[in-house]
Amino acid sequence: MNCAIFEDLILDHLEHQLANEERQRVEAHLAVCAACRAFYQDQKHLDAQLAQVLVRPTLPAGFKKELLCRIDAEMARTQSRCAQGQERPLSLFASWRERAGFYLPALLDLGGYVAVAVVVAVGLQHLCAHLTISVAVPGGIAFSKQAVLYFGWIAGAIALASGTWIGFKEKLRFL
Amino acid sequence: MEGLICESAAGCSDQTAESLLAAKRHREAFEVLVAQYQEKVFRLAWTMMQNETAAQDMTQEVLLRVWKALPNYQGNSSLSTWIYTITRNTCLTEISRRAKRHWVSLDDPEAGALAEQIQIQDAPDSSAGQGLDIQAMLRRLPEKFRQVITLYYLEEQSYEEVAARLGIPIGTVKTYLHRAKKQLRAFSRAQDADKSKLRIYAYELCNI
Repeated sequence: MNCAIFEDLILDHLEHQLANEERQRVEAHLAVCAACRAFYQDQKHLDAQLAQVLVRPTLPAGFKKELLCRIDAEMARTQSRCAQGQERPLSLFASWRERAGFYLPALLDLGGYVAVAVVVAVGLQHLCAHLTISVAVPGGIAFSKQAVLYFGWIAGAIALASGTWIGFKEKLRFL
Repeated sequence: MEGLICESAAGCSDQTAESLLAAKRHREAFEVLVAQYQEKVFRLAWTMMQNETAAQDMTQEVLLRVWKALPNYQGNSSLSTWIYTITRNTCLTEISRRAKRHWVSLDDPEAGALAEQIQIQDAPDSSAGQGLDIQAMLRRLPEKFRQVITLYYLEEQSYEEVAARLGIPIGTVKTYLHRAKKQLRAFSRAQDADKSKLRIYAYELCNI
């Protein structure tokens, strides 16, 4: 007789899972096998102990009321905010720190672009002032020193504007 | 309110909640669900957290999550399965969060000494004459066995209820339950053997 199989059947028996026929088979085995009888008695004792120790815990009496009150308060707050149009407007910046962190480096960038443009324009102006001949293009059109000077300023301004725009766009991308 | 009629009638709350949800009456549906599931969620959380206060906090957290997710409930699984899954996930997240928070290096001499002390307190043969009580034996079981056997006794000894709570097949519940019971018996026998050894040792000491 294999008692290992009977151990599971005994547990099934204690859990009221056996049909009549099987129950009788287990009971007949228990009558002749001392080891299985000991197992049955131990498990019965353990079952009683577990049923005594594992008592259903319950929630405090006011739990449901408190939870529903909390949810109602939350709903009322959201609804009143929506009704009064007090929803926080969407902003790229959550705080003044973030705002400063974006604008300060951007202003420094802008200063850098202005400085470069001024240096280029002033350099070009000085270069033109010392030119003894006018700049010519193919086709025989000649530019005066003054025209080259204006060209320098315009090129500088375009470089400044495009550089600033590209710089800001890059920064916005990371927000 | 339709929800309140079913609050005391067992078995109809899921259907009532589903029809209320279909009618976009979320607040009423939630009230029905709270009435039906708050204690079940609490017992599952209690089984997983092994602490009543933590289980209460988890129950509140789970039900708030259910409330927030209710408008997005698609009905792909039953409400009970959905709620128990949220419960298990919430508890597991909290357990791992607590485990990380309490993590200490054993290289730290103070922590090492503390761990040793805890081990000594937990050791079955350290407290001569007192032995293990059933709760201490339950704590020594592997987590999955402990959860199954605890829920089995809390949920009126129903395999189906335990399977639904833990999201495992009924056959697995039965297997884990039997293994847990056999292991508890083994712990109990070992404890008795230790007691006998101690008695013999004490007898020998007295007769030297």
